[in-house]
Amino acid sequence: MNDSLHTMACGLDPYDKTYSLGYEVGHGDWSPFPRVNKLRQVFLDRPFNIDNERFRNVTKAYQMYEDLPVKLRCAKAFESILMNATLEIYDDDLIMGEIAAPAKASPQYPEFSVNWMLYEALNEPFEEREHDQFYFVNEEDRAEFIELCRWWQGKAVDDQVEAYLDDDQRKGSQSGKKIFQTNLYHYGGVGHYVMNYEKILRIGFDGMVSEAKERLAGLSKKDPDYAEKKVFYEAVIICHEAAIKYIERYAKLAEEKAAAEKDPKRKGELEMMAKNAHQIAGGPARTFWQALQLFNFATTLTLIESNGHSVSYGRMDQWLYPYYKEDMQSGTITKEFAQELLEVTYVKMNNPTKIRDGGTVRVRQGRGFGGECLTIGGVDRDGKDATNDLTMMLLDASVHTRMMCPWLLVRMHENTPYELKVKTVECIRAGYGHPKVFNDAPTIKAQMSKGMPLEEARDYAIVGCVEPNSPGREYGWHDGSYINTVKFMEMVLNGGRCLDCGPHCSRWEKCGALGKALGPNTGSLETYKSFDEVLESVDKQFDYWIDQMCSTMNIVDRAHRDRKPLPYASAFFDGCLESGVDLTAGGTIYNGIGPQASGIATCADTLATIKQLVFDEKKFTGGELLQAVKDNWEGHEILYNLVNSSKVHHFGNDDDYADDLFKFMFECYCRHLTGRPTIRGGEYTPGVYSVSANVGMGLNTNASLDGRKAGEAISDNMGPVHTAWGSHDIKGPIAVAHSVSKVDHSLATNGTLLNMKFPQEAVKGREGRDNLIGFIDEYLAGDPMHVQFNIMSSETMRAAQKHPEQYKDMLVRVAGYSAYFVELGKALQDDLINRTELSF
Amino acid sequence: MLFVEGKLERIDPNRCSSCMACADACPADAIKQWGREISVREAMDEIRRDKGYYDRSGGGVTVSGGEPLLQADFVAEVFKACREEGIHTCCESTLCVPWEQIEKVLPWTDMFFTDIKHMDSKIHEEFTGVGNERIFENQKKLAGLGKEMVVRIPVIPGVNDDKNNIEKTADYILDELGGRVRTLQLLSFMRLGEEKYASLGRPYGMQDLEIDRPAFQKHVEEMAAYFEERGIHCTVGTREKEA
Repeated sequence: MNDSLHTMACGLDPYDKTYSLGYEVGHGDWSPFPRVNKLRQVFLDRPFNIDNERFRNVTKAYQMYEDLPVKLRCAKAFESILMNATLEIYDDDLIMGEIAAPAKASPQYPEFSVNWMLYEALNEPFEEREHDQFYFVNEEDRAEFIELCRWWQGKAVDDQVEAYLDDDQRKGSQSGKKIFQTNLYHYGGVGHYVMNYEKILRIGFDGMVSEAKERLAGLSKKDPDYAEKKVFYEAVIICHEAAIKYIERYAKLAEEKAAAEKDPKRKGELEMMAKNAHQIAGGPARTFWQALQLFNFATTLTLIESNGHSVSYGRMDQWLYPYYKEDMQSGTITKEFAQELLEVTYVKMNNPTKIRDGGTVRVRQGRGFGGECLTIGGVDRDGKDATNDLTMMLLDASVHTRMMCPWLLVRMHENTPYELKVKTVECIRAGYGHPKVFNDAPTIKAQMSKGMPLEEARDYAIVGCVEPNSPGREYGWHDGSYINTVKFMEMVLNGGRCLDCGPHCSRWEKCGALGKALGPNTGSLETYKSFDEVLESVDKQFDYWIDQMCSTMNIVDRAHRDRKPLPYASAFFDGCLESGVDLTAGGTIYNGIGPQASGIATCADTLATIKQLVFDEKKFTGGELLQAVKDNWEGHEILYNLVNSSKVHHFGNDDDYADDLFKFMFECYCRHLTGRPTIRGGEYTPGVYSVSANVGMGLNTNASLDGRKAGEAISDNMGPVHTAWGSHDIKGPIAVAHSVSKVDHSLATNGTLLNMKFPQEAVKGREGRDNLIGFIDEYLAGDPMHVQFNIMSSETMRAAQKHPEQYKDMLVRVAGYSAYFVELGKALQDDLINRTELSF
Repeated sequence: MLFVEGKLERIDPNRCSSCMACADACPADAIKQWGREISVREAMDEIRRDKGYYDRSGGGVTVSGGEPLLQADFVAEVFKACREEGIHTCCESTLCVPWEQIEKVLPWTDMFFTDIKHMDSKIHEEFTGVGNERIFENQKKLAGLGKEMVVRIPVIPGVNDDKNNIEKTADYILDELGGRVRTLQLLSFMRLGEEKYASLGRPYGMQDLEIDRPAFQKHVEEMAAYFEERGIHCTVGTREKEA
């Protein structure tokens, strides 16, 4: 580690400042700036309300402009929302702009779907959900909400999707057996992009309007698409002129507030905020503060238009740096104030919230828009390390705020400076879950396989969880669909039928009762003569189900293009203004769709069980294994224990037997998606991550041969299997790192994700910090894409005592050695818990 | 073996031949074999998997035990192989073995971890079954050769944490070992062995000891401060303090 490169880049805190160790309850004063702590607390105390204002305004506009072409109608609706939105500048805030709703209240987007909104408002009230509740402020609002929904029925994106779906597509989807779930974009906006922030800061909204006007003037009637392009440019102009007027409204409000303000310090701040807004209403950003203000307006406006989540912030330490540098050099800002502005902006990023349909929140929990990834570090376009002061300051801001947003991400590469590694690990071991770490080499390779030149690939930013993206040039529909590969396996084992096929199934009348099966019959465990036949069967099921899923996604994609074009966002993407084609119609450069697979390790361990017990050792017949999972392991205790024990090969132990099968599954999935065309002229991009959907998917999945009982979670992301019986990886983190790195991650062009858990004790002290740095270095050297860490608390250890089966792989530092916590006796566990508390 | 209703209930350690047939037959990992005989080559295959991590974290291989120097020939061969592959080697030993055994591993060992349990040989014998003379002789020889050494004291309340023993330990390190100890680590007593003793059906000698944990920890920290005062670098536990 001593031969690593070094950097002069400097944050507010020393690079090796140690914060807390592990998650700590009950602190609210992480930031050195009282304003930031206060804004943070105010945010946390605010309720999650439902706000009808956008709903009302968009409905009025759609009614008024019903005869306009759809792009113009969308643009007029956007304008109407901005002109009529109630504006607010919150106490102590330095950055203005919400999503046309009060902070933390959810506006409605009926353009995408209302059927579930209406159904749930009438039958399953949002305030009565088990989690992800939202609240109407009063009963009049509830009544208005229901009335507005009724007007929209039949007009939304999802209505068009429903009209096109056939039964083979439906049976696999969320309205069928949930083999793949396209909920997110079926019912809501897409988002999942990085706008060209460099451009808007440089030319401002005036520049955007001028560019669209020039293109419009240059249109020729000889062009057969003249009319569509003309309408597109007009729509862009309406949206961006509306943005200018909207920001002017904020400027005026700030002036009014300043005039009424008694406190001279706050008065000065409000005056400066008014001045900032006047400048950037049309013009470019001239200062660091204005750059952050314009960033926030540009971003919140795209949320107002599109409902899309995971709208990510790109390489903020890069595009923001020129403004920081200039203000610092000219002496117009102090490092402290720049830091305070970053932290205020961070808190602000948490405000947008989004009601999702009940079906979606069962697999994807969270009330925030979510997925606002902020990328820092990495190499520049020439391949040199890009670390600067802002890289360090954005990490400081993260550990000073410790909130859901932004989802901070540090790009690493072979020349990442030592100081940045230390700072990153200090934040990680503070135990609040940020930042995540990304690996440049395989990610750059993945981007190049989408057709990007090397320089552009090096400039990637991450969107949402782990999705590589070219800022301002890629509309990747990342997170497009969740795929339950374990459900595929049921059909591999059982002749195309679900394991529990029977009259209780909602599809029985059109499926099993008629002697049909859900999927194609590609053989069963009772008929396979060799293990190769099993693998062939897996391949065939993937082929069939991925056809169903992709053809569904194409219908969803088409519906967004037809019913909800995005003229405001389009101007932020290379290619759209040049071609006159909207972002939703394939106007930008890269136009993929990225669905993600869950349960790969569950499938791998399933295959290992079959290979070892049936074909290699011949201890059991395929029929016996099939019966065991059909019976949910009841009456098959010996087999159940055996497949969960270390006597059967399991993925995650640096054991090629099982790791090769993981590789087979991973490659099989990637192969069936890669190269498939999308309707926007791009290609499908496979991802291997589940976020937390593996838990919800497990609920709908019968028992599996890895030793999982029906209803248990399937394996998460790239990680090994954990069943109720116990964890399948028992060789420690280096073995997991090696197993995970045996696949070529660059094949998963929509990203891979690995979660790792460490107890505080393992990363305690200078040695613990350096061990974690060494571990990350060793892991990344194997060319995986991503890793994120959980640092456990003693509460977690107590939870581990209660449910040891779920914590089998949790390492604890005992004295001079480490051991698995649950293998220790109760007395020692208690002692460790006490000792942990003593060390704070 | 004692069977109740066809299920294995208990194994009589006096009659067990360690054939491990029970562990092989058990489908649930309820009986597991810990430890196995391996060749130098097998050991190296295992070690090599972690070489990347050793290199990147500045770590290496530590052999411990039991008492690794009871298998000094094997350790010597593994360490020699490690040396050839550029892997740092460390031996954690009581040093309660003939010097010849230590000499076997010495050329291939970068560092030793050892401990001082008590300065009084009689008390040492009372608690461990052996006197401390041979241990101290070996420590002095290693110090004399300038071998890098980390020395630990398992601090056991009422046994070796009194002022007299602590002062004598400091004298010994400074006068007899010439102060050539990289770090002195104080390891506070934990009830680590209790479960293992129970599973082996042996009585646990510290059963009745009750510790006021915060007070004891403070006491250990005061001990560390005393050693530091005497010029011996000393930590509580195995980690250096945070910046």
